[in-house]
Amino acid sequence: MVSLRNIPIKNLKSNPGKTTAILIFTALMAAAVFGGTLIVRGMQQGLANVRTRLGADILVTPADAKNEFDAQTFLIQAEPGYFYMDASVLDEVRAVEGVDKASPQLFLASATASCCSAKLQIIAFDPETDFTIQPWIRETFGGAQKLGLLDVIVGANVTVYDDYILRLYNNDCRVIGQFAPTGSTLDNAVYTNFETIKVLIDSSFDTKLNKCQSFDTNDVISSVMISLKDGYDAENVAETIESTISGVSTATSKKMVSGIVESLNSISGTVRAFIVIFCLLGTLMTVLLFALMISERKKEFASLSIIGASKRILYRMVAEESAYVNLTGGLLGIILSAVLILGFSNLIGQKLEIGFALPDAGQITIFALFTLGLVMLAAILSALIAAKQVSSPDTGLILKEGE
Amino acid sequence: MFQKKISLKAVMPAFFLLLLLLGTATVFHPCDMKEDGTWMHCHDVQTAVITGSIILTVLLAAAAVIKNRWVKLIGYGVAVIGAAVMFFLPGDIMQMCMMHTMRCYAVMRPFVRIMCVLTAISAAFLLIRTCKNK
Repeated sequence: MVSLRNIPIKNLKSNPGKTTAILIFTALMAAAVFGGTLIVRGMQQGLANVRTRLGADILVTPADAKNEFDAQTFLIQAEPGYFYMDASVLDEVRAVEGVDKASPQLFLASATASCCSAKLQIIAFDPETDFTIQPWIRETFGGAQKLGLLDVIVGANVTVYDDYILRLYNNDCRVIGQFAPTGSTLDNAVYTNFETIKVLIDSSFDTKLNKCQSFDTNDVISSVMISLKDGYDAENVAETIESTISGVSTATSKKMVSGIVESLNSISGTVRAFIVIFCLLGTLMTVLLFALMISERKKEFASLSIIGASKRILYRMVAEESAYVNLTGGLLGIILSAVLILGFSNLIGQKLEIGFALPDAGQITIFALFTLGLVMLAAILSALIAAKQVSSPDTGLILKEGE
Repeated sequence: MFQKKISLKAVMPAFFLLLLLLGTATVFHPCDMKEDGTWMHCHDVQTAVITGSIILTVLLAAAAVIKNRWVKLIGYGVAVIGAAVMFFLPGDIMQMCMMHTMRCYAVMRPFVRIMCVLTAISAAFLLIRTCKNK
């Protein structure tokens, strides 16, 4: 039975070609707006995560570690590596004016895993002085976690299958937790305390898999994380450290994220331009196609008018047709881009060469609603323009056309 | 015994599985061989997905061309279950590599999962339709 409620859907079905074309343009528009917003927000979230997780104002490393440590790419595409300097550097750094807190870290890279070609970056911190990793632990686990001998916490990208045991240099390390993703290389590391990494370094020497010459693990550190007192400029303090302590190199947090900020600005600019272009083209094509579809049905509207359909009913019919087709296209576009971006988020992050962390479900829902809102605006615009054609008054003339 | 006309809808799940089979073997393949010439764990997942896709494609193709209602019901039913199992193969049922940044996790797993969802939905649609058409 034909009723006013199902006429719009029947009309859309009777024009499959044009309806499909509008659906495709609306879906493309929605996919571009939703996908683009998700990517830009993901990059911003990645940068924010990296800034929060870095936690230090300055990072001091050995000067001869330049091949292993590039401050600008360390957070986005670093290969596992290790380098060492004398532990006395820590006291020298603490003596520099402006340094509030200084905490040492010790690095090691694992040998290739048995399952695959993966190598892990092992980062050890000193629980007594650490101010960068422990806040992260407290935030993730809702309180302090005491790491015992051979206990480790793994980054979000590390997979552990065998009963939460990670085998590193013939030592079975117990995985006591996993951090939430940050979208940076920090997700690829394994975190532990000095006690454990010293055992692992000794084992790496025993298995002859360490590239360095044997040393006493109590006498070395890999880096010093520095937090500054209020009012001190990181660049100035870094310069002072380099000039007063021999054999060290410094990287400020600003310098470390500068590479990410540059990439973020250039990529997000391009993505935003694409969003605008797709939005304008999508709206234009939707309006044109819908107007064309309605204009071809002038006789149908004239007939409906003659059998008693008021202008209000005709307007409603046109508006409903426009709403149905745009809503369906919008939903299709959102689902398509959500599936692709959420599914391939790791790949997207790698290809963009920038920290990429997906926003939470709440934000994703807001972006989806915003996109649907935009698509529905295009629907309203289409309906308004098409309604003008429906309201052309002379039904008699329209029906006589072609006679 | 055989259908005279085969609709596009009836071959959709088999088409998705064929795409899964070809994709996993080519563009969306897992990690490459190790430097020492041995295969990584994810290679076994690729083999399992390809084998599963071949079996299910044959089953779905039979369900699409054979008129018998029971063949259709069994074909579509097994396809839904098979696609659901294959969804969990990479990384859950079978172990893959150690890092989520590796190709098997970043490329193969999302592709397998998307194609499995599409296969399961289209096969479930056909299963329901066959159940209704007594």
